Amino acid sequence: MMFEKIFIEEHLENHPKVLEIQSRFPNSEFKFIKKIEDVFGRVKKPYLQKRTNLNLFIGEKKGQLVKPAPPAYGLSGEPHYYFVHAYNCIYECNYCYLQGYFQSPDIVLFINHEEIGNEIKKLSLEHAKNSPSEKIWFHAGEYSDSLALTHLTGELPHYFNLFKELPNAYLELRTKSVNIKELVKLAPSENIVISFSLAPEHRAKMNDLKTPSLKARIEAIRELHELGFPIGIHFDPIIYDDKLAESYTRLINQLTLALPAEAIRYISIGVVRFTKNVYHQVKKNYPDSDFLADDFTKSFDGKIRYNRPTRLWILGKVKSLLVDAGVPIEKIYECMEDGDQDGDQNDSLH
Amino acid sequence: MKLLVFAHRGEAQAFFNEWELVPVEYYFTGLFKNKNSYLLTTGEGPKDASEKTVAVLSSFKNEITELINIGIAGSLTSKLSVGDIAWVRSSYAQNAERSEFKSYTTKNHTNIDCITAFSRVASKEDRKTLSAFADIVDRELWSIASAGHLFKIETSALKLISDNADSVDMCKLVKDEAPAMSKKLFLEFQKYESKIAAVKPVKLVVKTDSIEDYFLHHPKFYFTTSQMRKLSTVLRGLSLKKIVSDVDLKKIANEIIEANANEKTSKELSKIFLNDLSERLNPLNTKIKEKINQSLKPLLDSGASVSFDPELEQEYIQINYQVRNTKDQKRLQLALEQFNYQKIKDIFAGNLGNDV
Repeated sequence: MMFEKIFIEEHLENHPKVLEIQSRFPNSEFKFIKKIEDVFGRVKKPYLQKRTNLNLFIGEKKGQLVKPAPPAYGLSGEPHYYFVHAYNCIYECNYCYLQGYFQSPDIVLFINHEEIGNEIKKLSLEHAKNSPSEKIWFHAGEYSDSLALTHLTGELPHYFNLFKELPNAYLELRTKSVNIKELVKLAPSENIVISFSLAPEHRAKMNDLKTPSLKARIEAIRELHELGFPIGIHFDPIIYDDKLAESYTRLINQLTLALPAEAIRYISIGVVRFTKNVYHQVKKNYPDSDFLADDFTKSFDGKIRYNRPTRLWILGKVKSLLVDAGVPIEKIYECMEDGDQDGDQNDSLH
Repeated sequence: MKLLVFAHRGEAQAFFNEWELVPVEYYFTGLFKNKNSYLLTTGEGPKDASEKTVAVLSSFKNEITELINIGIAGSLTSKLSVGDIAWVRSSYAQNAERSEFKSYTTKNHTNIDCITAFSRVASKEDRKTLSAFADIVDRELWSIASAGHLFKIETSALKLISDNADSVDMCKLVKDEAPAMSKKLFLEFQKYESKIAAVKPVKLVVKTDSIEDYFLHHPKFYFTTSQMRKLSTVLRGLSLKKIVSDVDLKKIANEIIEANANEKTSKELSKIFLNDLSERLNPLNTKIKEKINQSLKPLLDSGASVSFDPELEQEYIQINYQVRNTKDQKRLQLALEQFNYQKIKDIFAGNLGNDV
């Protein structure tokens, strides 16, 4: 991977992580800026320009560092929060909402993990005090892949150490990556779940562009499971085709050979959905995507989805396939579709 | 015809020398023409470039199919030196302290981006700001590309690096160098023209278009305007999903014609054909609608007109029934008793049965 330009917030010039990144990319042009927002997203950079000209921004996340997650995010009944330590992704899933979210495909890395960690700690301790028997969840990877760049960003040890001190708190690292080399250096922790987004092989090839193959992802799952890492799974977004039942049956078989059904920590299922703007971007960026031929409709929340019987049939079908394969029903949750309610997040990143 | 847009006559000098350009009588001076191209000089800056390009495109939009901005630019990066020449990729703009959010991607490009500054780059600080967004800076491209976007005309830009955008005094220098720079731009433009000419004109045949034409011109079919749109959408969808080959599409059409030719009009045949294709494209939707209609059968059999959300998003049915006598009333009552709304609810909950 190569970054054409690397923008660094001026006050971080001598930060060890910045110095390390500078040494890793000697051929990139380095620019020091006051703050990321002065440049990032100020002009609309075409999304597909990420193929030939990807820039990197390094800065500190400001504002609310940890935010409540939208409804139907994670297993219900427990509070869920997400934190953001990066924007954008090196992959190119053709349904991804990031196409219409930041107006720039450039990668942003926030390196103030101490501050983010302090906020997580504060919320966890408060929660432990108020609801001692209840878990609290924190999700990484809302706007980026949680593992894809960890060899570069190096934040995993920080979060692993943090969550050791917070037994009531759970961390989810969402990924489509197989970049587990930093992860396997660490001791697995019961309260840190590595969750992989999966799709049937033909769908992964057609839609999860530039991501590791399904086979490679399942291999990574096997390796991590054998090492004792708790694993979560996301079947999200599910895209309809007439082979849906067969292809998800095969996917579940492939998965459960690597990770026994009873060992899956949880599995989310969600049907493809877009905001109007993202749908427009998908048509522009990937006009030959087969799912663009599907009948989508503006649904209850203004998002573009399959019609209601179709999406609920898909969820029901995949859920029953999982149950048939031995996944306990209480471990399956429907992402962003529960009772036709939804959050304010854009979806379909993972 | 191409429209070549320059800021200064000096930049276009070689084109005047090499081509037989004649002035076009227009609202302002600066518009010229030969048999292949219009050439416009706008004067420096985004305002003039925008106004004059829009005016010319508006007046000659039926002739102009391609818009090319040619001229000099300042380098904002060490990777480009004075004398380098490049086709621009994306065009951005900086208006005073503010970056214009919109950007335009050009047709023939390398990996060089250009930012159009609304005022001359007067300091190193200006240069630093602009260099965050692009590799080169000019004063017109964004306005010209914006005009091209407005008229849906493909735009490209050829820029020659004249300076390093670090001094306002460079204007005089550029003026002195104009003939040589213009010559270089002209030669590069000629290369582009030769390259285009060398590519054998290949008639682009889009599969769905050709089959679409086949059906649109089929003597047995008559498509209304909305049906034409639907045909186009459905054929595009079938092509994306690779469900039916063109040969099979023709077979399907022939079977429909043979089965119905004597009793259906061309318009009705088109409707049957479109419905058939839609069913193939979205078989699940077809099954859902069939199931809804099965559930509605008691009502439909009573003579009621029943509709449901065509988008299949909102769960409701709407019944229209005219009661003229007690017999009608009883028939409706019986139908309502036989009708089970729970079945509609089940369908909208995704319970479609084992045959799906």
